[in-house]
Formats: sequence, C-alpha cells, structure tokens
Amino acid sequence: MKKVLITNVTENLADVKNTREKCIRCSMCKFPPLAVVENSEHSMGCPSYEEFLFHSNSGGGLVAMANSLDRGRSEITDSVKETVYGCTLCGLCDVSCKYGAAVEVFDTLLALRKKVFDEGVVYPEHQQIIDSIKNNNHPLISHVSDNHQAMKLSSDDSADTLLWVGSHFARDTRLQGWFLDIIKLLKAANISFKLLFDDEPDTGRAALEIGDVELFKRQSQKVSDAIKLTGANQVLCLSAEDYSTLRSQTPKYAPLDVPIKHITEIYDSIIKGGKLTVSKVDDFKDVAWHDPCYLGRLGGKFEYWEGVETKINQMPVYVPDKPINYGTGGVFDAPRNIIDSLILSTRKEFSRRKEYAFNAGESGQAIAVMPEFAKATARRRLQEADDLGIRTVVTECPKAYLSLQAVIHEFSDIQLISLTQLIMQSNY
Amino acid sequence: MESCVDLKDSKPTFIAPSVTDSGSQLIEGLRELLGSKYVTSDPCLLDTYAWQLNGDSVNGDQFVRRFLAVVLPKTTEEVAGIVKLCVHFGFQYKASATGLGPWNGPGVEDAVIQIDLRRMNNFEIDDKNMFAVVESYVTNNQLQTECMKLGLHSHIHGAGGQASQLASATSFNGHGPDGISCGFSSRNVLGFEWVTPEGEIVKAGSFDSSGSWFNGDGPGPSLRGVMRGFFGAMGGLGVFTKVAVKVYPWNGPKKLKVEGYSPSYYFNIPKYHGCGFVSLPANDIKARVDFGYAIGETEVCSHIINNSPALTIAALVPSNNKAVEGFKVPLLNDLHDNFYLIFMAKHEKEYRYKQRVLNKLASDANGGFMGSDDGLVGLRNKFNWARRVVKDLGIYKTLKSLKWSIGYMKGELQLHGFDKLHTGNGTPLESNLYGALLRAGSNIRAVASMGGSFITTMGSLLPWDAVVRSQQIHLAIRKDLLKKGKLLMQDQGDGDHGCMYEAGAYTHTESVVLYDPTDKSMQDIIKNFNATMDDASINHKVGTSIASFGPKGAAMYSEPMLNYDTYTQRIKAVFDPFNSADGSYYTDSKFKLGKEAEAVISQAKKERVPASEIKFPDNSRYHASKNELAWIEKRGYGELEVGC
Repeated sequence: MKKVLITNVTENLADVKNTREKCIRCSMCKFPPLAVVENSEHSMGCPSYEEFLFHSNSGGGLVAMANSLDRGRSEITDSVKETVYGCTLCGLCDVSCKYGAAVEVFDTLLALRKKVFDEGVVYPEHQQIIDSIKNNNHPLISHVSDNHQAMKLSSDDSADTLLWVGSHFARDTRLQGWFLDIIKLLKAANISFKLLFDDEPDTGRAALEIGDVELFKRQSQKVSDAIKLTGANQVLCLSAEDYSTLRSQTPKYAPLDVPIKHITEIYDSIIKGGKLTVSKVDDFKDVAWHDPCYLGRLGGKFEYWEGVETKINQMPVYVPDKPINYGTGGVFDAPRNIIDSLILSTRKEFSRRKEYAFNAGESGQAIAVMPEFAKATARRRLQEADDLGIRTVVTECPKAYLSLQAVIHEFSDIQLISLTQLIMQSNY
Repeated sequence: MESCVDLKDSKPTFIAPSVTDSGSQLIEGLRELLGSKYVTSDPCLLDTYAWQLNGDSVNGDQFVRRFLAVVLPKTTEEVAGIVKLCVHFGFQYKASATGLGPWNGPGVEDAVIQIDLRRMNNFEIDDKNMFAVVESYVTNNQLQTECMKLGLHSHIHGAGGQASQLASATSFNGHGPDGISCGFSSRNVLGFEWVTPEGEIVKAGSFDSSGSWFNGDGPGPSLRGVMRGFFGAMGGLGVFTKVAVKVYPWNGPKKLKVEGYSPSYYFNIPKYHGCGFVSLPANDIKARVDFGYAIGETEVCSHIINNSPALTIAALVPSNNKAVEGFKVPLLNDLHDNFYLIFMAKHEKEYRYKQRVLNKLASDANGGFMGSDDGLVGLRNKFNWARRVVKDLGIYKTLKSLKWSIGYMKGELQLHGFDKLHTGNGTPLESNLYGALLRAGSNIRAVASMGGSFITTMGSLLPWDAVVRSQQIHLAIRKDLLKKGKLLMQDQGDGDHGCMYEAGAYTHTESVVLYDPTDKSMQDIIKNFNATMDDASINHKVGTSIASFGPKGAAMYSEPMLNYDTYTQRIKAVFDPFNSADGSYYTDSKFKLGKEAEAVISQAKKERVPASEIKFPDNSRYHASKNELAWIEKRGYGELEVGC
C-alpha cells in the first residue's frame, strides 16, 4: 500500500483528525501534570475551565467540539463562538495531555479557530485587530503611541544581532518606559544591534490566534524576508509573544534559519559574563518568577518533520521519528538565574510553574472580547502568589505584565515588577 | 471499562417524553433555578459530553448519545431542585464528576439532563479521626496533597490523580496501586450525602450528636450496600453529593519534591521510602502465587502493582517509536512477572526491617528486588535481582539490556541536565516509578499513549491465585485471537495490570487491550474480544468482568452469579419508582439484549478456547498446575476450579 507523506504543519481540522479523535476524555488537560500538583487550591491548570466551568471549556472539550463540527453533527452558534474564543490558548492542556496521553491539543485548538473564522464568524473586536495588522502593521486597537521610542534609536548596521522590538514595545504607550530601560541595559553591556524601524513587520500572531491563518502566513513570509535582508545571524526578541511566534509558529510557513533569542537569555548571559555588573539588593522580598506562557511552554523551537505514519498492529509509528512538543523547549532557567543573582533572599516558586505555569489572562485574544475573563485569570494567578506568601511577582512578558497589572491593586501586599526593572534597581 | 454489548439495538425501559414541549419547559425551569450561565443546551457543547472513551465499541461511534441539557449546580439543594424538576416533567437525569467513560452518557438521546457536579469541589479533612468529607468534584490529587500536609494519605484509584474521589467511592470501581495499604474506593466509604432519585436529601453512615460527619459505620443497618453494591449504580440511583472516606497514615514529607520536566518528572524519594520492582522467575507460577500472598500478609508495601511489559514500556518512553525500541529490549520484553512497589517506614529500624522482609520474600521466590533501597541488604537485593535476570535472559540478552538501560539513563539525564542527578535518592527510573505509583500518574499514559484507546476485561475481586489463573486464561485467548488474524495491539503477549488490596486479602487484575479507536475495523474485534473474555470469566469461574456491569452485564452474568441483578432491580424499584435516575448502566428488569449482541455472545461461546490450552499455553509461565493445586490445598484458600 502506498504511504502518504505527511508533515507536522497542521492547519485545518482535517490535518489533526488522526490525533483529535484519540482524545479519551480523561480530563488530564484540565490540570497540571499529575506528578507536580502541590496543593488543592491551585490544582486547576486550564483558565477557561476554571472560569466558564463546562467540560466544553477545557482542552478536551474543545477537541470534542472540533470533532462534532467536523462531522457536521452541530453548527457554529453564539455559544460555540464564545466557547472557542473564551480560551487563552495558553497551551497548558497540550502539556498535560502529552504527559498523560498523546493528543495534539494546541494544534487542534488553532485549527478549530481557523474553522470558525473561515466560516465568517468573528467578533468585531477581532476584526478590528485583523484590520489593524493589515492597515497599520500592528494589532493594537488602543493605547497606540504616535511617538514611539524605537524610532528615535540608531541602528548599528554592522551588528550581528537584529533587535526585534515587536509591535507592543514599539507602539503601546504603556510600554515605552520599559522599552527604554531595556535599551539602556543593552547599551550598558555594550550589546550592539540593528533595527528595522518601520520595516519590521508585525508577526501576525494575533491573526493566527483569531483564526486568520492566511494573514498569518503572509505576515510570516514578510518576517522571514525582512530578517533575511538584514543579514543578521541572531534575532533578539524583546517580547515573549514574538519569541514564541518566531520560534514555534512562523517557521511553519516561512524559512527562518537564524537563532531566535529572548531578552532574558541575553540578560542572563551578560550578567554571567560580567558584561553587566549587578549587586544584590534587599529591597525585594519573597520574589517569584511568573513564567509567561509565550516564553515558556509556547516558546519551543518548531522542528519541521515530514514522513510517513505506519502501524505496528494498532500502534502508529513514524518514519523518521517524529518530534513531540512537550512544552519544555522555552526559556525557564535564565530568568531564575538572573533573579538569584539580584536578590539577597531566597527566591520563591509558584506551585504552578515552568511548563505548567498558570496563565495570566493575556494570550489567545480572549482579552479583547472578554476582558473580565482575562481579569479573573490574572486574579487567580495573583491569588496563588498571595496564598504562597509571594510578595514580588516578576515577569518579562509585556502582555502578561499588563494583564496582571489590571488587577494588582486588589492585592495590597504584592508588587509586580518586570525583570528589566528589577535589574535596573539592582545598582547595575 | 465497558462491555462488548452494543447499545444501539438494545431496548431501554425509559420512554422519552416530548422534547419540544415539556423539554423546553424543563430547561426553562433549570435556568430559573440555577441561572442561565449554568445551563446549556447547545448541541455542539452537549456533544463534548457525548465524546467518550469506548464510544466506538459501545455505540459504533466515539460519540455516544447526546443529553438534552447540561447543568452545573453548586449546592446539594440545587441538585435536589434539579432532580425534582426532572421528576416533575418526566425526564431522566444523570450526574457525573470528571466524567471518564461511556457510562457517563445517557441511555436515551435528547431526553436526559446531565448534572455536571464540577462546581461542587469542597472538602474537609478530620485528621484526628482520619477521614475526609469530599464533594463530588474533589480530585484525588487535591485530597492527597492536602492529606500529606497533615501526615495522612488518601487512596487514588486507577483512573489517576485527576479523577473524582467521590465518583469512584460512591458509584463505580476503585482499584489503585495503593490498594494494598489504602484499600478499594468502595471499602473506604464511611458516610455519604445523597439526593435520592426523587430529590430527597439523605445523610447516611454514622454521625455524632452534633450532626457532623463521624468515622466508621455505626451500629444498625447500613445503606452502603444499597448505595453502590459491588459495582456502583453509575448514576442510576440518584446523586451523591458528599462522601466521607477513610484516610491513612503517611510517613513522608508534607510536600513532595519533584524536579524535571514533562513527561518524566523526578520525585525525590523521601527518607525511609523505597521504590523499585521485584522480578520473579519467568516460568514459575508457584513462586508467583506464593510471593503474591506473602507480600500482602507481611504488609511491608504501601503500593504494589503487577504490570505487563507493554503497559510498562508505554509509561516509560516518550513516543511510540521509542516504545518499538523498548519492545526489542529483552529486559523489558521478556520479564512478565514484575511487581512494581513502594515501601515506607517511619524510622531507620522499620526501614531496615521492611528491606529484610522484602529480601526474604523475593529470595524465597527465587527472585530479586531492584530498587532505591540502600545498605548491604539493598546490595543483596540488587544482586539477587541481577542473578535472576541473568538466569532468565542469559548473558547476551542481559548485556543487550544493559546497553539500553545505560542509553535510557543517559537520555533522561541529557533531557533534564546532569545536575538533576543529585536531586533524588533513586535512579531516574525509580524516581519516575515512585511518582507513577503514588499518584497513579502513569496509568492513562500506559493505556492511551500508544494506540489511543483501550478496553479492559476480567478484573473481578478475587484471591490472588485466581487472579493469576485469570491471567493465564487471558493469555491463551489473546494467543488464539492473534492466531486467527484478529490483531490486537503489540503487547508482547501480556496485557495484564493488577493490584492487591487490604494486605492482599483480595486482588484484581485486568486484561487490557490497547487499540486505535479511529480504526473502524477494531469495533468488531473489540466486541468479540470482550464477549470471549466474559464467556471465559463465567466458564472458568473467575468472577464477573469489570467490563460487564449494568443491565448488559446482568444479561450475561445474572444466572451464574446467583441472579444478583434481581436485588439491584428491587432496590431501583423501591428508591426510584418513577425511574427518574438514568439507570442504563445500573439495572433494568426489562432490558433485552440486541440481536447483534446476542450473536456476538453466541459466537464467543462457540469459539471457546479449549480448557487444555488455557492450563498449558505454549508461551506461558503456567506449567506447574499440580504444584499450584497442591499449594492451594495446603494453604486452604479453596479449590482452584471454584475461583471466587
């Protein structure tokens, strides 16, 4: 029998049929991997299931919805739309499923959104985001800066590193100070970089998450072309979302052969290498790192695979061996190393951390249409911090930061700080 | 799990009322009671509750029947209100918690309300009296992690840490690796809160004068037998909203230290805990039976399971491709009689004692223990294990296995970093195993990661020797099916998974088959396999099958099992006169098997594997029946042929 060549680039529900139909509804997707649960209060892993409560709101539920729609058993209704987009696409379900079973949950959720979008069902807010990417080269629909700081910098065209500022750091009025601090630290460490200014395309991540895969493909090609033109041999992302996109999604549709780094990795390297001298400070108590999903479990490098599926009796095997994304390929240690080098006290940990960290409400474009859901998710994350005696939450994802910031006032004993700010305050 | 019998052409007693009229009124009433946010009747959302494990073999499709609506109550009073509304409008209802398994589905399409108990997730632990009161959606992991902080341990059943503690205790089976020390879910039930089929709230069990939950079943009649009997009513007898369960002593840290990344986490095996596996001679059934009883009676283990190579490999490796490599490793492939275990002690003296006992038992059975235990006894255990392995495998195969073992360790260390080596006091393998046993964390991985799905058969609660016998029956049948070209999952001829309970007083083993649920050709094969195993369970007297409960199971097992279903039917009639609780997986006096199901069963009877093959299968360990019979006679555990 002739074997059909398949790849691990999946786009439509048909591409993930073989995996999504193997969900056995074990509910692993709703919780962190069983081995690592530390307490009952924070034993839930899925923000959507925690908020909206029906099985449909979990990874497995959405997989079953995909199966139902694909077989024509049901239609896309308002409830379906709310359920599909009432999800942070944080990928916890994918990590937990692969710990317990083997379903490509995250890819199924993306394909499900594509199906909904392709059928013309889209929130007006999401349409605005799509239009903004197309017309303005960024996905922001509020807090847009006309006078962004990145335009005032000078590019060192001889540098090997391309600084990928990203739409949020480049355009969001709330992030301009943070952006300048990053630049200060890079300059203090004598890191030279080149810039694309207005020629830096938006990655299109928002389009991918909304389900407009065609737009994402076009943006991916633009990203690939732009990077290639610079001749850079390294891309340094300031935003965790861009890091995730350039590592795990863009390469599915456009070649991207240069290493992609995140600013936390550079900080770690320059502090360890003595390029940035820091001294420990005692200003911060009970410090813990919040793992942004984009930087952590969604930050693994995509490895293209092409091959055939064959079966040994009932067991599918792949020739050649197919890579499995367990959500462990992102950045986890670098920020922890940095914090350890900056504070006198012992760093704390969230009970849900690293590849099974709880989301802060920032991802998946849910925040645009269900801001209260995003707030509730951020609140749950900070409640976890509060319960564990964490008093300083550090992160380096602008979207996670903003989402947490929206509710931080409800937690009078907790302060939120970016890793960049922490370094800045450590007498570097 | 589930029976071979196809529901499609079965005849349920319950006749659905008109959905368009009273159904709409019922849903409107439910919205008023709970708020619209907690009710859905959207077909696509309802389908998420219809997508079920084994739906393919039960219903000919992975989607089982669809509910009329799903509701999310928060309190027992709301549950009672839902039940009364259903009774009023003449609809059925069925409650579920974490919801794994087709029995969570309705017996009739579009006429049953699913009561999803997901919002009822509170619990309290009474550490002095050693019991916990849990609501329906409290998971095993939640309870266990909080128990540990109080020096206690709670039973986790085989579905895993993510499954509901209550559902297993009140309404279904409840085996698990900790059964030897923590019992079986149903045996841990003390008291319970129950919304009866007509919506009355009842508290049963023993309560002190303050009305709070109290431990133990007190004097007077107990409702526990009514509540669940052996298998549980699977939602067919009202709704259980709280249960008081026994908890047990925990001689370990308040919080487990876990390092590493998914899918292989390293547990730091606590001080005075030991973890590993006992290997017995590959062809000595007497040793196997002896060891099983002795390990129970001596009470040295807190956890123990007997697992087949295929299930072990699936739990160990990160992909099917790696599993294929694992099947080629003689050590993993050829040794079928491993017992995976944990022993725990409060102090050094007890630890050394348990080590010595383990050493003695393994040595008496001509086997050895490979584990994290230390000191001279630990060395002797490992030496005995190595000697056992070399004897069974020979030098060449042992060296070949050693090469794989080194590669495995290297791979794990590369994956997690060499600095993780010092974090546990066991090897990566032992650290993983410790967690897998403690939280039943690898069970789903073992059965779902390779083919995508599984079915399981046999698995009645039996004396250990009868369990060993049921394994031989399974092996012979499996071999026969393979010979007939009815291919099952690559499993090295052994799919058994079993545990011991309450110091080995009783045991169970399931004959598991892994398969691809998307392969339509498997549906008939699975049905045939299930029917064959059910027939063999009856024919060879090894108890009822875990796969054959409810009216369908009764259709096969009632007569040989003293017409047990007449009792469940009477209970149902008394407590549920309007047949309001969906009893499609519980009991139904008017249930008739469909023609297709009858044909499958009839065929299974015709194609019985001859008893001679079961006693002496070519590839089996079972060649010492005379010794076995003599041994059983000596021990006084009853005659082999009588089984349970």
